[in-house]
Amino acid sequence: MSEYLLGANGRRLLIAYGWLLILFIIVPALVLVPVSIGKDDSFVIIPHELSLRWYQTLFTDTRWRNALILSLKLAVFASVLATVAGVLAAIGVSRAAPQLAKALRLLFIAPMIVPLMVIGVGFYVLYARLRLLGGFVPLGAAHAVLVLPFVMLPVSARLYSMDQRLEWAAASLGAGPYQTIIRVVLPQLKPAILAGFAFAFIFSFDEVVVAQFLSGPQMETLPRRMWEGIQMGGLDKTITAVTTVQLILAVVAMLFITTWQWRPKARPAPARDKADRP
Amino acid sequence: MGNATSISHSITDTPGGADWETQRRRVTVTLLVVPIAMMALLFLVPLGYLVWLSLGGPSGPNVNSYRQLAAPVYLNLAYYTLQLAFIVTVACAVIAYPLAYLLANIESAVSRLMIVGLVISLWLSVLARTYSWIIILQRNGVVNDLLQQAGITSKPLPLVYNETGVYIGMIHILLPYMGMTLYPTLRAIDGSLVRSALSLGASPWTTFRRVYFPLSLSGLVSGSILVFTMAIGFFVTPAILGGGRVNTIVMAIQNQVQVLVDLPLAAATSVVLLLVSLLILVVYERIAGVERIFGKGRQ
Repeated sequence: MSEYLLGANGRRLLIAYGWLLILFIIVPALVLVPVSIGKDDSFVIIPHELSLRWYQTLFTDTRWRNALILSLKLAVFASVLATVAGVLAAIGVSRAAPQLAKALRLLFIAPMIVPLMVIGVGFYVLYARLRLLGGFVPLGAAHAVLVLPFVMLPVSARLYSMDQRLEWAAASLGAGPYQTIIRVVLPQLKPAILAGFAFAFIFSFDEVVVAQFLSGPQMETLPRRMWEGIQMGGLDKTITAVTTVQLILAVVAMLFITTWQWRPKARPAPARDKADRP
Repeated sequence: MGNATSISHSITDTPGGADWETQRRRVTVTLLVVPIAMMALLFLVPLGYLVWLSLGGPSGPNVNSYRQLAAPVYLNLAYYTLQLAFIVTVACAVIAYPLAYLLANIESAVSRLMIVGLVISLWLSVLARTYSWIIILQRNGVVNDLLQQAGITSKPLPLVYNETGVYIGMIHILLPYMGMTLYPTLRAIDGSLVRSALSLGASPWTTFRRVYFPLSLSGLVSGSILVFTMAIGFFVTPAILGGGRVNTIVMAIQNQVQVLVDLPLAAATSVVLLLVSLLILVVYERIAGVERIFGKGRQ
């Protein structure tokens, strides 16, 4: 589609506007990378002397390293749990009766819409009562619920665009219902599941609001450690090393997933309505 | 429908037949047990407990905490939060609309780079990007250096740890959500409608106002609802970039828990915010369908 409403000048202006916004959207995400490899304490964008000492601190200083390891474990725990539950939820909802499906979809999406602070306080009062504050599994379980929508959404979208006749074919060839799900449905969902898993992982790895309430004094996650550093004026340059690691992690995950999603040839999918049935 | 032996006979059933349907329903229920149990235990129970606590908890049902919320300080906070979220939403819409138009209609390097930038943005750490803005906007940061070198100001402007910083940071983080909701809507607009209007003698401005804009409205509305909801509940960015000078309702909740240690009051404030966000969720479902969040799902 080409453009009709603007003249040549208008188009040129709009493209210039686009470049300006790229500065606004992308530069803040990248600016800490050069800062993190500067040797001295100052936050200059073009460092005088290069050094990896801030990365060394991140991986060797006990407090930073423990926080890093704890956050990695937490993100794995939460995103694995959320992926299992989210995939089951997406498949279940896609097969449920329309009214029920609608209600359930709202339920499963809700953790994304309700403010983190509200969910955090809810868990805090409950866990305080049950003496679960400061536990790894309770915090991981809370994170799993927070990130469940990130798995559920892409998997649901993929399910809608799938050809249901493949399931019928599997059933008529003698596959049991679970065999059909495992051998016919799940393989087609793989890219969506992977995308959801990665997004869930990244979100949990960055989450500070709920973690702050539930981790108690002894469990310090990476975002919590960063938060504290930033509140103290943000002068510890190790934080810039952390943000660079996060950036690399996110970009690698995203590149991995986009190449994955492009691999299967997308065919126009027939509508999934009842009239379609034999 | 069906009977108890349907599972063992199912292999020979025709897909779409009655037994097949019964069996499929049974499988659906089995699939949903785990996720529903998880949501009930880890989402509905904590929020239900919060509601109970806000109504007085063990000391019987009363609305004392809600009465406390009617104090001017909380009404002002609520008003300020809504105003902040509203301005951020309008700013995102105004900034993102021409951008989405560019992405949807003009093939150029900037469009391709921008789409990648917007998608990557959704993946990046909010904490990290908020922190970047401190480095960029602080007294001896890049922006102030440039402004001083260009002779625009003689001394550094206070751009962060105040309202300005909060607006810049929030718009930066929420803009991609608006962009990614608007872009598919604008892309789906049929160009032949625009061409017809022009060939029938309408001016470009009239064509935009009477044809293009009304067709883009659904994306604008769902993007605005999404951004508004996120802005109301936003904690990290205003807390860091506001430097204590900007207070929103979620920051008040944190204060009630950690400083005032008034849990019933914190619960009541949370319940009000919960109801507001659930209301928005229902409206969003009515207007756009929740699966459209992030521009994924059915269009």
